[in-house]
Amino acid sequence: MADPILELKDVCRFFGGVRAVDGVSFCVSKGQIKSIIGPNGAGKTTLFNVIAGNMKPTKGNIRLQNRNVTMLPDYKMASLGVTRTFQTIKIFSNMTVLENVMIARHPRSRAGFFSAAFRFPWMRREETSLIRESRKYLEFFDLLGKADHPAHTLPFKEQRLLEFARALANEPVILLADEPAAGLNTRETKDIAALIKRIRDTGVTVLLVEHDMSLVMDISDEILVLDFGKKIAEGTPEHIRKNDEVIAVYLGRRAEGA
Amino acid sequence: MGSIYALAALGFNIIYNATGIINFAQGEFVMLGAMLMAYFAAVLKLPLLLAFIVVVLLVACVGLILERGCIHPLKNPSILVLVMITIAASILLKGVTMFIAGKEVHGMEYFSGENTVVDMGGAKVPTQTFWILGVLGVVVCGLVIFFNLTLAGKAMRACAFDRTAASLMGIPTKRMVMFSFFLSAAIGGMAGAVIVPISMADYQSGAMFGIKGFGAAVFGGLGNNFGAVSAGLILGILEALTAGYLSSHYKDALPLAVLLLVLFVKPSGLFGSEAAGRLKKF
Amino acid sequence: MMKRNIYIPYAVFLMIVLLAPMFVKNPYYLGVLVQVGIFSLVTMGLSLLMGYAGQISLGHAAFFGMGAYASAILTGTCHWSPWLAMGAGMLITACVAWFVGTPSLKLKGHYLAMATLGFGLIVNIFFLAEVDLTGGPSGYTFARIPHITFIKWTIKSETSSYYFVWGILLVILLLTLHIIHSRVGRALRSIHADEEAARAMGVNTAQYKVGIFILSGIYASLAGSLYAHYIRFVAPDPFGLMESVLLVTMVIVGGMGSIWGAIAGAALLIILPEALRFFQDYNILIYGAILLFIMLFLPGGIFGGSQMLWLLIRKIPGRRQEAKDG
Ligand SMILES: Nc1ncnc2c1ncn2[C@@H]1O[C@H](COP(=O)(O)OP(=O)(O)OP(=O)(O)O)[C@@H](O)[C@H]1O
Ligand SMILES: [Mg+2]
Repeated sequence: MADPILELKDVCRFFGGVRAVDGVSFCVSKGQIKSIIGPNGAGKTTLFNVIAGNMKPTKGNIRLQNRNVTMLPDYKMASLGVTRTFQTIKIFSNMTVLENVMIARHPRSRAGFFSAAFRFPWMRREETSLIRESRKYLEFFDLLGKADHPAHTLPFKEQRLLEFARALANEPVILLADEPAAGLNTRETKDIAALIKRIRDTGVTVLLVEHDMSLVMDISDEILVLDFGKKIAEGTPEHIRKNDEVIAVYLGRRAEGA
Repeated sequence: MGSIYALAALGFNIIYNATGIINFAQGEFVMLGAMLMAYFAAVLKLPLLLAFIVVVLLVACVGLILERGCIHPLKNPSILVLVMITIAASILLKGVTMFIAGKEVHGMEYFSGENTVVDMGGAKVPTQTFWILGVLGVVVCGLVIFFNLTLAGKAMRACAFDRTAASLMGIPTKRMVMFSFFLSAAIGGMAGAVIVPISMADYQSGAMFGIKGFGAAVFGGLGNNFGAVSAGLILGILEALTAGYLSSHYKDALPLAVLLLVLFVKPSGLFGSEAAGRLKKF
Repeated sequence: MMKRNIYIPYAVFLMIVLLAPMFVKNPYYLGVLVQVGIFSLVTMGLSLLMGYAGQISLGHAAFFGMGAYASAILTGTCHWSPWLAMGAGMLITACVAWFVGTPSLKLKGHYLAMATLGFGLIVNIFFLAEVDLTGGPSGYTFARIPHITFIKWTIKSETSSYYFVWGILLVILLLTLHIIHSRVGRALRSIHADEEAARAMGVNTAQYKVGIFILSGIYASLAGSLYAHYIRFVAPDPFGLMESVLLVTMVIVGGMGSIWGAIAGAALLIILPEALRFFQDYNILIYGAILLFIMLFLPGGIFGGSQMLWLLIRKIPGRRQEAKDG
């Protein structure tokens, strides 16, 4: 495979007896949109947590751009270019829309307690350019008009967009998006699909978790299927659509649920 | 002494299990129990048993009022608000006690008579010790029976396990919260009532009871009643040992240091595992 | 949080502080204002920690006391210059804050509250027990704590104390406002809102939390040193648990999330008991009642309360949304 950005080898994460992620290996190549699908509780969010450094893997190895990042904490991963959006929206509700995006520039600026307290000229210049860059990202997501609104006053969909704006402002190498279409209607979901493609076109690799099958089939270059923490299939959308085991898992669950 | 911490720790646990709140006024319940007992038994000269029952009921009512007045009106409060509100309540209780009882230290004679001791293999053990251990034993047995055999007890355990689920099942969680304050205040009151003959009390003694009780609760794994009792006893013994061998000034510091150490190293407590933290058995 | 206008309220405040002694001539009242200044310094740091970074500390009186005792002992017993002692006090406090803060701030909510409370009690026991060093329960009596000299003025009268303390406060206030409206302030507020998301954005939350804990400890220590040189006597009592609670009360009463609130809270809770002086011993009742009242009816504090009133009056469109989301 050409140019792997992210490489997982035999990654496991157990919670006591629960094998949330169990021996998963895969690669994500540069510029891809890769999706992870699977039934509820399959371990998708846990897998994201492990990749993003939020949880340590019980076992296994993670490489980012050929560098071993298995044990790095989440804030380091963020500064190395692994950024995420959350399944339940996590914006900073006590800040303005603009400040939310400015936080994402945190690893790319350097004012500390001391320089902030004394307002050195370089620190002021940094702040100005921070605001300028952040507004650029807001513009990309059509949020510029609300830059000074408190973030918690945004409607749900715009909060999602803000989360994306914030993630992009982090200048990620790879973006992990956890169910970005959850809670949105069909039209809004279409917008998100277009948005993810646009993000990919700016050169960011995307790893996506999503339940909305039409969205996944539509935009993914590759799909990986998880069930009970195990990888059961991986390949192009056509390949997955035809895979017997995947069909069994999905249909089987449906039957059970009915 | 350890038994008192164990009792205070049980009080913390009961409220924590039902509500997820740490009641910073728990120590005040013990103080109130002690002060009231000294008043009823030593000043009014009520018969011991009667005094004891009245005290426990009174303190339990204070617990109820606290819940009705301070906790109940809040709608999804932040932890800071909860911490500060229980602290405010404890200051208020302290203030009221001082207002009524003054600043003097109050005490009373042992339940079985002035300074009676039992000779146990050379060591003289005050008779009151047995009273305290006895009350602890009764409370522990009572709780075991309550939580395992009665419907209300089982309902409370269900609340502790999952509040939303419990309320969906038709358990009146609100009333459970109220009852948990009642129960925990009653236990605090008992602790105060039996301790006052040994260590005298004034309006300020609540804080130390509270923090050490909390120490025991954390030490034993918050929410874990078996752990609380064992940890309370261990803490009491540790304290006695430091008072004996180290300086008596630092006798109060040791349980605190233990508390910090446990919090830093293993916040889930000596007898708790993370997963089992919320799944407590008694 | 507009950057442009932080200097306007500051300038107004500066004028008020400079002109106040013209109206308050009675040295006793001036003395009360000196105390307000000293306590404001502590609550400012605490407000950074609680209101901005969202962390609880019920042990800040310990840092206050460490500054006071460091100044007392180093100037009284060791005959250091007050300024050197003040610096040493801040350095010691910073080290202790680092040592305690690093493990404590991994804890959250109730646990953090209890850990800091326990720490505060231990420090207080230390003040009581180390009689040879601190003088024990009766206070530091080995030597009279000297007056402090600033350039060529000896800070002795109430008026000079007033200008000295408030001058320092104004400098620190400016630095604090700068910190709040900067990358650091944003990082702190992001921790308050959602620690996990903050880390996902590359904020080293553990480091910032300890950093702000140390900074607020340094503020408290500085205030303690000023206190020692102003009162010229230190005893363990004013640095105990009640005082820690009082400090937190000041921050909450003033309104968290605003440095101005911290100053207002300190002023209110110092001036009010002075005004109600005939209650004397029943201060404790009043504190309890005020705290309970604020927590029940005005959890946003005076500042938050007045802001809410303002919103109600103006009926800004954001409110409906807020009600729906919250
Ligand atoms: N912090 C945790 N502690 C214990 N168990 C956990 C934890 N996080 C997840 N789990 C368990 O791991 C399993 C996988 O959960 P995960 O959230 O990763 O699923 P998911 O695929 O994201 O599901 P969904 O589609 O509902 O988002 C579940 O059984 C869950 O209960
Ligand atoms: Mg998930």
